[in-house]
Amino acid sequence: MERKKILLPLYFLLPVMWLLAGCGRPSSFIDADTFPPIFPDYVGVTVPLSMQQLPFEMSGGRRFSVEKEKKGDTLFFQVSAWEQGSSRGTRYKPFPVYLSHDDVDPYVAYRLIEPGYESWRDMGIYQRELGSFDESPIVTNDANNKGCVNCHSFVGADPERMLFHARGQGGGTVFVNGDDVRLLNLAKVGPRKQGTYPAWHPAGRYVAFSSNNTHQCFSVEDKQPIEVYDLSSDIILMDVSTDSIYANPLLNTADVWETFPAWNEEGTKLFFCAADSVEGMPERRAKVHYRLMEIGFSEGKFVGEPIVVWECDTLSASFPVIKGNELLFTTTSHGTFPIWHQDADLWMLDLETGIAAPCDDLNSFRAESYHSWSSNGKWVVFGSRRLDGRYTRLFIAHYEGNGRFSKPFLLPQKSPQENLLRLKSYNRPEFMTRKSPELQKQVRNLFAL
Amino acid sequence: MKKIIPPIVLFLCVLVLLQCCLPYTLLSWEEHGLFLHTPDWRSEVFSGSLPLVTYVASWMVQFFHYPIVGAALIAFGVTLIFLLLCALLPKARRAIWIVFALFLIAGVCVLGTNKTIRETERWAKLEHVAQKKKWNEVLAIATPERAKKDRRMMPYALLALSEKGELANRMFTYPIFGVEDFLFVDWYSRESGFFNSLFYESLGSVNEAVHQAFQSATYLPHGTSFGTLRRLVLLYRKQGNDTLADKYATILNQSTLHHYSLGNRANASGEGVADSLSANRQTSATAPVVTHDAFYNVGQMLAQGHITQANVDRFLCMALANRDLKIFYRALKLYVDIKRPLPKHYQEALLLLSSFDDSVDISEAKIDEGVRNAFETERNRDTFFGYYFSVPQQNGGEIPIEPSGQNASRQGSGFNVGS
Repeated sequence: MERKKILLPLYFLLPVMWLLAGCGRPSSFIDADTFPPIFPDYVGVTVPLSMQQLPFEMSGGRRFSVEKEKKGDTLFFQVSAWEQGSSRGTRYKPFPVYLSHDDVDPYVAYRLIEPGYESWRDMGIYQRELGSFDESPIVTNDANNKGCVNCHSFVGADPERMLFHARGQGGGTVFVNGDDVRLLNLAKVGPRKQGTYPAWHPAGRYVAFSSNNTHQCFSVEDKQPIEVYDLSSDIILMDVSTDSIYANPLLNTADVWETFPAWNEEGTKLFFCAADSVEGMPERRAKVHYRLMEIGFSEGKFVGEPIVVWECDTLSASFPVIKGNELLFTTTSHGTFPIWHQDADLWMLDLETGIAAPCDDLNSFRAESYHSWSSNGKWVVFGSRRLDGRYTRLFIAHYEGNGRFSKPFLLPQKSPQENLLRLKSYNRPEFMTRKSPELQKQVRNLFAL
Repeated sequence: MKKIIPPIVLFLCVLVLLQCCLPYTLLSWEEHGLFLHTPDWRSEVFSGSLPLVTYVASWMVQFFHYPIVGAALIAFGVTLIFLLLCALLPKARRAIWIVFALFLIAGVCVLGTNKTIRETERWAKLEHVAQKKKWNEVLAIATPERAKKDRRMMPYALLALSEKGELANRMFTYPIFGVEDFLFVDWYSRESGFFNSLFYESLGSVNEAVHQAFQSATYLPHGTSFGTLRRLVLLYRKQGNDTLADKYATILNQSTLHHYSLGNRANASGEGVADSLSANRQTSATAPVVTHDAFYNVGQMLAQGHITQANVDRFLCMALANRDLKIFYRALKLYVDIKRPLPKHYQEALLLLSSFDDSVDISEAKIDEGVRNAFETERNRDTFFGYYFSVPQQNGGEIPIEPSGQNASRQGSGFNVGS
């Protein structure tokens, strides 16, 4: 009887000890001469000092431990991984993460929406603090009766002055200037054209909009399920100080589709994309090739004629964004909405030499699309569908100069799985120099009027 | 002992009542519901109204995937309320029991006879069995008599008939008015997207089936649902896109009850994983697109090489529904061996066409005596003749029917389309 009493606790302890042994680190590790296969892939990326929190996990779900060491401006992560219950693990070669002293803007704004199709339910424009994992809404479509909110755009990356479209019944474009939040239906002003893609003039008085007649079609069985195309587009200019809109005939031609306006930093030139109009869309969509154009701008007026800065018979350009002498844009084989094209890539045009080249450092075998520069021109954020071909995720890369970038890294999340579990795509990432106030209440009031 | 009998009786009565009267309604609640252990879902719930109630209710609704469990949960809730009331008002225990008994009787009457509730249950069953491809059960619900009163039944009936290979024999036993009866066209709702997704899956267009599944989901409280996510897993597996199938499976695995195994991507963790779709189906600037014309879309699928019996029957019967005998005849010669026994409506159409057009040679076709007699005498509404002469013509259009490229060899091989 006494013996049973002593042994009894052991019957419970032994299984517990066995279980615990299975959960813990193995007693021995084999050294591997390779970097660990982690997700997201942060091996060899360059990050700003504010973004050193890089949660990752082992591909295949293995357990792992990390030892971090800082040597100068490089963080080294020594990862040891093992299968649960195994007595042996693998110790990988420490992988570097390079720290850059170039600051990055503290926030990035983006829209979250399901990846395409016709209808939607919930969407919103959100902001993410890059130094943490905090994400908060700027405005959601609860404010405009589940209408569409899109095309957020800031003056000089400062959310103090911004605009976005809020569509739906009674909708229009919301202009934010500090505490002043107002709604204007551009289609009821001047040439009565709706504004689509906006571009604030750097000085903040003007906004160039493209005005697009956009449609989409769904492929019967192709790997690319959706094609978005325009049947016409023009560029209009709004003077925000007087709420007047002008349609310059040079940018409003029937036989040319002008779209995607973008200003240079001095505000002396407007860049845009243009394509010769094509009839028989969407069947003849392969014929649509957009080229990059520029036109001068001075004292509120366009100056001179539009001139071609880049064109290619086999590629179509979109989303030009200028920083200094560098123009970053997206190319695809045809058309105007590259995110749905697997071949969409980022290219850089040197405005001085006129030479354009693909940004091989940034591109993947899937679509790269919308992009924006940080306010100091040292970082770029862009959307990519490289993870699964359908859900756009954000990647950030450091600009090294001369058209070269560091390896892009996936926007870190508190748990790496959040990148896979999120059922919405990131649209139109834009850096912001500070946090935007939440505009939900003001926008709701606009739609309640 | 006596005290526990009433609550047990109450529990069992509610359970049986719900299980007998509303099993498919309970199932549909789970189909349309969502509960995920993900930050996005939690954030969405807790930023909405009554977050705790929504959270708990959503958690419970998961179990309605098994209607008896759902019924048991509701029965448990009702019993709990009964017990609480009895505990709070012990002197009124008898009265409480009488009230609950009356509610039970009322419940039986309402759930068993109320037209709206019965219709909701019938519709939920129809959607469920159609999704499970139980076509006999679909036809047992979507009868010609019911379709006369509720036109929404027509697409289901026609889909089931085409899947069973009976469309060309029985289509006109249904009150068909035209091609628009095959699909929910220009009607945006959860129900229409749900059916259209089934239709396009049957057609072979996974892209459009996915599109319609997403459309349907936008009408649901969370913008997606268990049913939608399961459907996406199924469709993408069918398409061979394991990357996306695994993504949705991983998301479903964040619920309490789902345990999907993952395909190529174990634990769905990986960056830049290569596509599982074949490389020769990359972006195509000339790929055909879906239109709002179902007839055209079916023609496109045939032209793209999706030559199945169901698609052939669908196309030919749509031509008959359009009363476009020219296209019908061309397609019949292309896809069907007319020397073999033909379905009833094809015989009827050939007879009628040959009476208009001397160039149409039906000497090799086997036309049943009964069909000939009906052509000469009756022309009932359940024949093609009856339809042709009694129903106003719908619009037609340029329809692609010729297979292209490597599929051209399928021309003339014909199907064993016969009764």
